[in-house]
Amino acid sequence: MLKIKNNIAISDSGFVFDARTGDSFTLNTTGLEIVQLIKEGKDYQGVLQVFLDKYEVDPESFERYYLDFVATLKHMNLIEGNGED
Amino acid sequence: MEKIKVTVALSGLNNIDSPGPGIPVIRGLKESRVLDVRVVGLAYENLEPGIYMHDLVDKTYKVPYPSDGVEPFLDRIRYIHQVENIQVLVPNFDSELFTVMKSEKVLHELGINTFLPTLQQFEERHKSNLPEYGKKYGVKVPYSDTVASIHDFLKIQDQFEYPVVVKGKFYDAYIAYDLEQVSIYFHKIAAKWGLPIVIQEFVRGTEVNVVALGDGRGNVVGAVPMRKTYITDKGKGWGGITLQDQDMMDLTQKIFSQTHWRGGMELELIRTKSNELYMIEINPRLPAWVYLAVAAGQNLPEALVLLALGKEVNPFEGYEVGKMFIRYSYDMICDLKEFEHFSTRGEV
Repeated sequence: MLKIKNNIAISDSGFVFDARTGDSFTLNTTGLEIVQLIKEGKDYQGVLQVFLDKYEVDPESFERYYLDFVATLKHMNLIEGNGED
Repeated sequence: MEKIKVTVALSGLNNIDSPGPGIPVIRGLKESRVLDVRVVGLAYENLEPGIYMHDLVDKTYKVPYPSDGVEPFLDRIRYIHQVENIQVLVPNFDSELFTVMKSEKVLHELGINTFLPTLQQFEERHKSNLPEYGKKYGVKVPYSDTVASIHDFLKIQDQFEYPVVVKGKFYDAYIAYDLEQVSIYFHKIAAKWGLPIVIQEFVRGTEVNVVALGDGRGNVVGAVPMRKTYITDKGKGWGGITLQDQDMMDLTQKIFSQTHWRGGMELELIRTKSNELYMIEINPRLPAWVYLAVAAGQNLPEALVLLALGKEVNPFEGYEVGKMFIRYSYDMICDLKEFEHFSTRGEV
């Protein structure tokens, strides 16, 4: 399951601060929602279900965007370990 | 609680684009909750901005360059001391530390306190001694060697891969990508700061820094790690942010407990992609960004002065992570009369 590193602070505005490196990022509302769901402990299926219930999105498109987004999170060193979901 | 009145003399008033630590140290002292500080500035040049910053510096005296020798420096300090009754002297330049350390006993007899590393501590952390330092204290350092000429470098260049870092003994560092650039930077630094020149292996990664204060008994009184978020073309931090990094704190602790460092220190480190920390330099004084530590909850200048006065100082227990600084420039308007006064009489 994906886990956001514990030195990462995420504010409600979508501002992300990595206290170890000093790097900061900005998430849009969709990105923020996904990250918050990951932080709550939801795996891919859990996040997918929330988005299918809430938004008009097909599972195939969501999966593509989700994997792309998670790859960015990994690239930015925001995910613990190898970050397998 | 009544504040302790103290007169502190300090240098480093060159608050320019490559700033000395004087003004940030003074800001910490002026914000002290336990000290009521009269600040006596020591300036080398007539245009050091701190001379004219009267809200921070109460009086400034011109002093001779350290290269003029110990006696001219001491003569001037004796004169200033007669007028000001200096209780603590805080040298803020690497280049003047040796002179002040050599004069520590005389200063103490005059009633002027300092809180400096020992000569051995000062010498062994020189850039030119870094490989031995790393070996002795078990700290990762990049390979380096000193050269007094380009001919010297040609003899050892096989031990390096380009790029290399060309560094002055006290100041300046440039990354050189070939022999021609090594030659250019060698002469540029040598002309300004003298010989020898240090050639250092280039370690790829992110530069991170720690400002710390040691009590001389192996304890860290305070330490704050930082990453520069904006670096000028002179390599100076124009912005920075405090970090939460246990590895950096552990390394600081390791160095201080082994060396029993006394006084302020700036550790310059490189964090590689594989999260290894390499120490690239130890600056034997508080750095120009020390006010960030003050703002983050550790008034290290205040603690340093208290230690110099022989007071017990409890180690700081934490600091605010994510505290930022952004440097700015400001055109201060000055009176020609003041400039004239300082230029001709050496005090204002």
